Amino acid sequence: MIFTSFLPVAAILVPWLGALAVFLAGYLSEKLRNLLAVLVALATCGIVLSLYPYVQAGTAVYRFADLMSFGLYFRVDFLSFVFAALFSLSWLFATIYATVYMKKEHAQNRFYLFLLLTFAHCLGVVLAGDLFSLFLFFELMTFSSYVLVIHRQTPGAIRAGNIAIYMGVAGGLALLMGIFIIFAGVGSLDLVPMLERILAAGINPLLVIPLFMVGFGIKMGMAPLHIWMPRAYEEGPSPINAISSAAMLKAGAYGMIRIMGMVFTPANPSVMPAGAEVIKHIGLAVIWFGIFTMVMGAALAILQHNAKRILAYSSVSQMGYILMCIGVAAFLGFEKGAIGFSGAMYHIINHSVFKAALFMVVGAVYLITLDVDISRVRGMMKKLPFLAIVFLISYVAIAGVPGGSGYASKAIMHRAIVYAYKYGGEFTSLWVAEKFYVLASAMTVVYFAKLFAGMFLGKMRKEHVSLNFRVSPLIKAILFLYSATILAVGFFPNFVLNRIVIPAGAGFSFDAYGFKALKEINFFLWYDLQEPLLVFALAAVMYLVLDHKRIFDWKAPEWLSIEYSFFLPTARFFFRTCCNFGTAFDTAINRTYLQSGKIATEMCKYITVFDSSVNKVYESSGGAARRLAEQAEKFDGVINEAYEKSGGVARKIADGAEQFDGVINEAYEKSGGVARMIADGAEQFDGVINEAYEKSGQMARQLADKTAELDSSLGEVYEQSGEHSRSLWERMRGSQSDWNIKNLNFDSLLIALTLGLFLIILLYYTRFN
Amino acid sequence: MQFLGSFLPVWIVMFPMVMTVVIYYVEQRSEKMRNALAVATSVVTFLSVLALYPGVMAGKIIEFELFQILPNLAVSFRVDILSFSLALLSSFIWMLVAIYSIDYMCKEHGCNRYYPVLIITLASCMGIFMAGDLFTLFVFFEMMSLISYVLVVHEETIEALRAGYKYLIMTIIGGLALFFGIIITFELGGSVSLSNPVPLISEPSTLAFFAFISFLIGFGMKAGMFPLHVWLPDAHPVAPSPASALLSGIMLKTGAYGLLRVIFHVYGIEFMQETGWTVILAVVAVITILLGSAVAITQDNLKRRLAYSSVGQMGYILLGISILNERALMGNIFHIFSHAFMKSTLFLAAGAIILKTGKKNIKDLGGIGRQMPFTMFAFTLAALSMIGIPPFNGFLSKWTLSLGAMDAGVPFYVLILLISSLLNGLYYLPIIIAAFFGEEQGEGHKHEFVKINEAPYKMLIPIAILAVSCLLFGLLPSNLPFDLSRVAAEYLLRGGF
Repeated sequence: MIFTSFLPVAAILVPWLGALAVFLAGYLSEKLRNLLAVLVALATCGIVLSLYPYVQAGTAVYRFADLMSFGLYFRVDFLSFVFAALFSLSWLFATIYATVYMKKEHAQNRFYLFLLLTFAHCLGVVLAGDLFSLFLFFELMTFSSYVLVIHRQTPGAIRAGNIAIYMGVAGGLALLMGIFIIFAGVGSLDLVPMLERILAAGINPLLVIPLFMVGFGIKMGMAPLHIWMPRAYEEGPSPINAISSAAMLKAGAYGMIRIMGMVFTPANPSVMPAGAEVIKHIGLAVIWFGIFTMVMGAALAILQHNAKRILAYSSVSQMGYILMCIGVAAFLGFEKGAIGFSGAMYHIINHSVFKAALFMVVGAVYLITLDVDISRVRGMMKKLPFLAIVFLISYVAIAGVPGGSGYASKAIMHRAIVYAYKYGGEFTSLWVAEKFYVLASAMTVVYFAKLFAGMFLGKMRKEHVSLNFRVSPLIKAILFLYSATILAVGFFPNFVLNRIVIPAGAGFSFDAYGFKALKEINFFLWYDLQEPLLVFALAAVMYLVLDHKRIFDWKAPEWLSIEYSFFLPTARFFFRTCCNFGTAFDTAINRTYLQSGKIATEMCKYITVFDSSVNKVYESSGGAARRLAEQAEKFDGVINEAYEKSGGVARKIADGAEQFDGVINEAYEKSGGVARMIADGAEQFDGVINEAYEKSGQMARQLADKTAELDSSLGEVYEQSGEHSRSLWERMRGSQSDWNIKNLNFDSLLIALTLGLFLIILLYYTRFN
Repeated sequence: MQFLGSFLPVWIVMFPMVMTVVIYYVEQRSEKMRNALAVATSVVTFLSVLALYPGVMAGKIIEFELFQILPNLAVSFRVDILSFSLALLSSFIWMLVAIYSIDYMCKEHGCNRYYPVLIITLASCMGIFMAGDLFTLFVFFEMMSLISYVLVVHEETIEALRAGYKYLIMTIIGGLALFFGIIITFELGGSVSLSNPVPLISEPSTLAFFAFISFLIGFGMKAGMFPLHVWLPDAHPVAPSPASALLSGIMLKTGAYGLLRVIFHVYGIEFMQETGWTVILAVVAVITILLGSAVAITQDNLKRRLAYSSVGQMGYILLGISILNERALMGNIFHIFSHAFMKSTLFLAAGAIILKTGKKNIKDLGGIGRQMPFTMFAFTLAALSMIGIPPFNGFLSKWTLSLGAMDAGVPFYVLILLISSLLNGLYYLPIIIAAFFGEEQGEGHKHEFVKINEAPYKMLIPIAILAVSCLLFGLLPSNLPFDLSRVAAEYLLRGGF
């Protein structure tokens, strides 16, 4: 049956709006604010509890379509209801407790605002119907709880808060990655069994489940991701420790249960889809993570002196039990997984109760002594018997003594690990796991013995004697309620198992037979009783040995801490790589630009030099040309002279010819006289010959004249040609102003080039377009 | 009426231009008039853009050709859903910034220079978004880039001048690259109009590749893309805070807008899918994201940290463009909105801090949240949104973007986004933590009542509007930016028609 109900939304809206109202009321009166805060918590509690009829018959859903584009979806089944009820009851008590505890603190308005906001977000995580809404509230919870952790604002608190919030953000992002992968593959984020669809989409669970394990594991305190917890718990106020342990850690566990126990289980368990066996391996890994967490948490708790830190490591250790059971549920799968689930659920409920009580006891001591270090605060038993009794009752519960509430859940969890070994097939390593389980349980007894002995036994310090040992009745009432619950559950374990734990398994793919078998368990039989006996025997031996060897006071070297050996170096490495590399890279790019700018400038300078050298070349080539022209002029003169000289020679030759003519004339005249003298008779002949000779003489004279003419005309020609060549050279040489290349500098060359290019482009377009 | 409708884009561009001149003359007489006119101009521009809403949402594309320069080359305007989205966003933030400026700038020098430049930058920015062809886009792009230089160097300090010089050089390089790309497009496609029914370049060729690279350089320079982002971390912090808000919030987006136009109008999506050239963009975007986020951590100057954060965030947008599917595109356009809102809030808040306390470095910001609770609350909202915390808008854009990356089958991108988110957390959370829970520097005693010393309300109101927008636009089921991004993504994938 699916009911549409606004109640889940109201359960979130009431504390949310109530938080704002409380914040405003704080400016009016402190009492009004405290009253209002308690009333808001009470109202929310009522709303959550009123969901019971719905979840008994089916689920209550409410959908805001399209809100944040994806839509917010609330879906409350019995499991969600159990968690929500647990959270709201824890919150109610913590709020009441806080009204006493916080009286003397600063910034109380802020405290109540964020207390109630975190309440709303925490409820949102468990009431969410799909992974998207779950993620939304998960992130909001991380941020709003931050303010609670750092409430004191001491440097230590800020540091603790930093670790918590950065790890929270990182975990949230891991979660988001997983959500993206599932959504991209399957197309749905609903919290229903859908292993078949996940495998069909080709998603490797080995890739996705670790992402969720990191995301939820950080919140849950899974080792080695628990490192934020001890610091945050030490620095946070006690009511915050109480709700953190009782609710916020459980929100992580809730997510783990939803993912491992629900989303990654087959919708149809009778047919195992191909590739589903990988879930079994993941389950095994989770079991070992759980074992590791519980042993490590317990071992570290033994070494602590601050009561809050002991309780914080105790929380880590106890979450390891829960984680182990979730692992068993996934490991055994459909047939026997019910026992793991039940163990986890039962212990979640029990742990919320007794751990909240323990933190409140320690807080009450703190209110009196303002110190919770058990090396200083001792012997409170006589002055604070009520607190000691409540502490002892919680001790009985957490140690798993029959009669305390933890006994039943530890019995189931022990059965779970035994079953895992028995039915786990070839994984015989689980036999060792069971031994570790017993060891961790014994260590739990030991460190609580140490805490109890430290705080309540021994001799009180002098400065504490004069304190006012008055515990507020309100605190007493709350602690009384818690103790009563612990004892009631302890004496009637089957009631919780049958009415709360087993119905919560509805909707999971576990064999109903497994639940049925659980229903009929009688816890007070030898089978379950032998385990606590073994544990106590072991614890007694361990305590004596540790006390004798003074190992309680042993301060572990820093390198042993996972924070110093792994997380800090990793974070530093990440930070350094990111920052140094990024910055160096960025600077390098910047430098490259600067360098290229410099190179460009250099090139420009070079071009300037080049330009001036070109200029020089032109200038020097101009000089060379001038020199050349000068030389040509000289050459011209030489030629001229040569011609002139040749003219002179010709004239001389002509003169010579004239003289020669004269000589010939004379010779002829002389020969004529000789002939006259030789032949008187032949005067006529002589005259004729004379005439003839005269004529030839004339002709020769004419010839001579003509050669003289020719000679002068030749001289003229040569003279003219000389003149011509002279003017040509003169013109070629020219003046400097005509030929100055200096005016054409590089810029104008570029302009010309660009213009040319532009013209080509234009030409191109006119041609081709 | 038809004519009026198609004339509206021209009006939106021209009106602020004309008003610039008016403001220039008015400011000689009265400062109050100047401020009033500047605000009025931005408001009228915003309303005018808003008036386009019915037509654009009905799927109409308004086109208007002003005049032709050459055949196939005109100054034209075109408004489609993408233009409208960005114009609406820009004018809205401009309006808020103009209001914010009134009180912020009152103690500054050179206001008479600041306001006209502010308004004419608005005009050119509108011109970019409303341009109908690449040529017009180029003209307005250059105009905006060059004029915003005046905003960058407003303080006239040596750093400002140096940063401005760097900015100018890079702008010119980018402008030249852009011009080259446009020339090639014109040659290959014969037109640079954005209203072509088919993409302008259809054949892969070397020249087309060079054009793509040129566009990448030209627009990527503006968008702060690696390795051209170097001007950004220098220029944004030195500008007066309202101008930084605009530079980071709006003007970076013009680069992304240009790339969208180039990829979907010049080349077309099939072309890009076939050639795979967007891989270049993707690689560069991934480096941009990681680089910006990582370097931001080491910065101590608040505004410088914000500027590096802008580099990283622009990487998201570029990555979204490169993935080329509907959801990634939607996430990318939505992130343009988200980042504008977030970064403007952050810069305006930083401005308020600087105005009231003069503190510029993060190490001095201890306890500022008690002094200026309102401003720092807005800052916190925007910063959480930056980190990607639901239910803020930054988460929504990251969510959509990541789903787009998953659709494309590249979970690696999602990983990068998430790592970047973690880095965002590493550099934003310390500011918030120090502001609210840190100890005050100097004489302050932490339990003492700290006097509230808030900025004037004209500054607070814009900050408040923007910060609330960050929340509302992430939370509300169907908000305007988200719808617009969805429709615009569908529109672009249809081929831009």
